Amino acid sequence: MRIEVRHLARVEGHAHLVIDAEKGELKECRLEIVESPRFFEGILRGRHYRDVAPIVARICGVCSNSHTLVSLAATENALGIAVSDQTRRLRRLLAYGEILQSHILQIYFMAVPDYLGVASIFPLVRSERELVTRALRLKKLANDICLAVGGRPVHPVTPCVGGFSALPSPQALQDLRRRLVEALPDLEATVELFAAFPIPEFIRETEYLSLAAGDGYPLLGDTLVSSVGLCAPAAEYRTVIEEYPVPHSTARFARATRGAYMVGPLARVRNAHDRLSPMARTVAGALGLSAATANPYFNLVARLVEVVHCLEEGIHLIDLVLQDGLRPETAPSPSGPGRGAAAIEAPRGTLFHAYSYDASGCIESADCVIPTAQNLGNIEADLRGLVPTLLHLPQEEVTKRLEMLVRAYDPCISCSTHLLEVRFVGGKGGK
Amino acid sequence: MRIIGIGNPLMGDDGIGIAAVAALEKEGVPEGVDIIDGGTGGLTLLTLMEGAKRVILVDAVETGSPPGTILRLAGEDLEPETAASSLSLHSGGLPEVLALGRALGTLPPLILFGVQPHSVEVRLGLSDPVAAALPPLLALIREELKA
Repeated sequence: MRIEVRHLARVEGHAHLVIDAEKGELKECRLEIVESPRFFEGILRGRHYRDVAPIVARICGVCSNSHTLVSLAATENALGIAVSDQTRRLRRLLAYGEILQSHILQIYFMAVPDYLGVASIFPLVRSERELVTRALRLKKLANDICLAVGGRPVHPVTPCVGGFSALPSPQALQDLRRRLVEALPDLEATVELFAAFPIPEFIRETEYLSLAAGDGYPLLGDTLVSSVGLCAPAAEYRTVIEEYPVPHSTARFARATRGAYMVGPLARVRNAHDRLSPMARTVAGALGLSAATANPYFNLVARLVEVVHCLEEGIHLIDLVLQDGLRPETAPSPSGPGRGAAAIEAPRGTLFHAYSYDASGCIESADCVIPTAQNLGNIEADLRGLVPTLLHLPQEEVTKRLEMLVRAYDPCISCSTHLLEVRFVGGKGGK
Repeated sequence: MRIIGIGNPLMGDDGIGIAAVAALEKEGVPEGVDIIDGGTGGLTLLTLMEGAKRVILVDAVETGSPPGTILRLAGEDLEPETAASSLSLHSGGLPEVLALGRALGTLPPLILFGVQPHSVEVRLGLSDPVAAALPPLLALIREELKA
């Protein structure tokens, strides 16, 4: 007996473009995403501060650690709680584990097929088996960082308001360190693979926004910076970033100082190139990525450079934690009321959470801005600039280049292989 | 033996898999059984299943049956129908994940317990028919552990 099992789709969303082939312009561009903030406040209102982080961790299966960590920071800011150096280091290690998880998945499973000219990872299982098993090895290592520090491979359970409810054992961290070092050959092979990929040429300067580098490469911080001189407290993000509705999309777009702006790996590298780990800087140089790169396709290269950075820095973070010795800390029991906001560099860019708590420590109001929502306007501006430069190419190739551009941002929309629905109208429509 | 719950508790009945593993963890399971909250799964599932002798997956599954209906699938019932040509990063559907695991030869013997959802709208908590299915679902899983 055979039964068809239709699995429930976890994410809705699609992208739809209409191109006027005659005029060489983008007539219609709809990038639809699921906007978690729409239900964010509704699901949190009335919840006690202890329960907030575990709930928001479920907003995104890929970024559960980022949502958890930024949520805890926002609650700590609201209720006036300071955290220790040990907590800060372990949180950074956990966040790096998640960045590795997300980036490795994107570069190997989404980008590699594009550059090797196959429809998905499936054909590569047979033709490039070592590549696929390497990808899964790296992915497992990233999962295990999150497991050691966060208590679970996804949806962490140990991070809590004020620190950690349980600490990783020194033995677990030593094992992790050994495996991070053993993964270096896999990393070298990855860099070698990508060095051979022809990254499409396209230049469009924009505003690059990220958190400022504080005690290291941008991660958790209280200052927002941009490539055109913006410098503002992250807690005031609502005065810096304006989200506005656009007629052709259900998603709201965002603008900052000038208009559309970019968040994510390339924006971080642009703003904090000098804070990359030595190995990551070397790889960036070898792959042609600098603090002045204005090709959005290079988001992919920036992602790979961040993989190198997170792995190398992960080793140092473990050394620092072990050197100082792990000390259990007592969890604080703050009370409300209070208001606070925080921001984190999630894999796809800057993520903001803001909460207002009442006197009993329960949520009165909550707000959240996710990276993909911030990138939509910039993706569209890129597509508008890109289309006229592609018209000499066959339509199939045009579609592929546009898909690759959207994929370079790794947006949180359903990114199946046929990500874009592209329609050509007018003219003979390419060759 | 590994039991992995899949789903999103923010989406009503889509959280049945997570509720099931949370309940098992609370009640306790025999030595040698690992309980994993797999979240919304996707490709991470492959690495979560790797190296296990046997895996039980628990998830909400749309089969068109009455809400709360429990389905047990194993072996060839789980053969993906689709030539998995599309692989979505965030919602890497179970069929695609299983197809990839099979192609790689890393898939342990699998059993899937699926529960027909009533509602998968944004809300915390299960609907009545799906909440009522939780005790018999746990009993079926415990039977499976004895096998």
